[in-house]
Amino acid sequence: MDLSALQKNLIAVQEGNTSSFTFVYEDTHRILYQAIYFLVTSKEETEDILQETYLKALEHDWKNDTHSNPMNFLLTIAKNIAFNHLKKRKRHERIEEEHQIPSSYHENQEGLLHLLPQFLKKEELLIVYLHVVEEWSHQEIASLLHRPLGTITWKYQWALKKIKKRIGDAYA
Amino acid sequence: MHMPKNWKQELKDEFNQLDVVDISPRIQEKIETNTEIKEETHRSKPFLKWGIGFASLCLIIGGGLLLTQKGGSSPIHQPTINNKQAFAFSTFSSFSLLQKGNNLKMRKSLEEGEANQIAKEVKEILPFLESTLLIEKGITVVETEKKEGYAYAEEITITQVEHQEVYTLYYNKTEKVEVDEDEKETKTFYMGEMMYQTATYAFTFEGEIEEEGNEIEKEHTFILYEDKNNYIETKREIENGEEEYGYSIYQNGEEVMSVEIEIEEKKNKIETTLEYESKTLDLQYCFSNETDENGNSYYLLLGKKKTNHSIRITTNEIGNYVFAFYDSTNQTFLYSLEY
Repeated sequence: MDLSALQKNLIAVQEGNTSSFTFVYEDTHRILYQAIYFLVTSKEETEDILQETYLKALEHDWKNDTHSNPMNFLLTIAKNIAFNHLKKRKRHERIEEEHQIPSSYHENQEGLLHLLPQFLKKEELLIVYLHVVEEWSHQEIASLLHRPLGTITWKYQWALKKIKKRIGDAYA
Repeated sequence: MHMPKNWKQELKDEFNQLDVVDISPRIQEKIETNTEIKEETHRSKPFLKWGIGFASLCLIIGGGLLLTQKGGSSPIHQPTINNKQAFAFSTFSSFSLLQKGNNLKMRKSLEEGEANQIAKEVKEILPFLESTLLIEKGITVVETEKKEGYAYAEEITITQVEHQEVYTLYYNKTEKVEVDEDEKETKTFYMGEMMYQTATYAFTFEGEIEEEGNEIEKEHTFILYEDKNNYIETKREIENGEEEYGYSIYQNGEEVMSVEIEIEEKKNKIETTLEYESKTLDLQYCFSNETDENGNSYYLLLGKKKTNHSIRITTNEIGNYVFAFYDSTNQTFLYSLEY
């Protein structure tokens, strides 16, 4: 059984060699950070979710896991935490709205990175990020999200349609 | 209006320019301080025992009861809960009992002592499981006397074989509908309190229905609070005909248990997958009600992924449950335990 370098480092961290975490972090943090940021559009929240992702991943039994793809595993955890976080945030935003408190969540910045999250759904954002920025195939994304390939293709096309509709004019 | 040719490149560039802060030292510090994992027994509280069942119920009937209620003018609501929902409810609710005194760990092989413990715990949930199946026919909801501060009041009665449970809900609600060409989004939010016997608990119910073309996504979240740090969060998502349920139990502000369930209909048969995870337990079963070649009914807990055993549950002539454990990989018989 050949374990990936990433998995070996995860096991090493679990066995007490905490300095191996540096390698885990170097190999994975960029994609995780960017994917989370695209969803929550807040650096502070991204950092918290990223930390939670790693801590949660280290609870997994990596030594006996011969099936999981560690990178996919980390992305799945990050996605789940970020999605849950967004739901909680919605509730808080509702309270802020009711009490006319200025929203404390969205960082007021420009660019597609901040514009797309305003109208794409969370899963669409993830699909767009992985396909456009990371250049993952739809099949790879389908495997990550445990969805049929057709669903991913459909969602991606739907996202493109929305992008065209909402930002088309800005680029005309 | 046309699609900009370079929007993809622009997005890539923006990500490349995104300042990624190195937070590895702070995570490493956390890892070092977290090396000792607490062994928690997660003794179940009475709140959790019935609370998770109630949360499930509200979540399930939420779609039919709360979300379809237009202005609360209809005095009686008789939600229709199909078998699939009732099954999910019962399985879920019952599973909460598994956490009681659980100290199982992820393991390579199932030892007899562990099998004994699992059998005892599963036995506890079985009568509950069977009785909650009756909920399909046994729910009545009527409007009741309002309470100050709340626009709606409803009394829910759950009739089981030998007894009834009565809950009263007091709540306010808001609803928002957004229509954007072929996309419609309906958001509903309820906040209130629930009375069970002499105790009162706060709850929130959030429903979101998104309709795009032929696709409908539904998402309901119900939270029942014992207090602000101790609560049960229940989620139900329906998308593309697939149903997913998720339960999280929080104690002292920390998530101590999570259960996920997926329900699929295969060849007119309901297949329910349970995934139960806590710091001390990681089990996954596929739960089903089966019939053997002689027409006798039995329950099957089919171990999935790392759960290396399956359990077939029957009743013997004196009414005791017989738990037959099998190795999942080669179907070798392991133990038979009677309770």
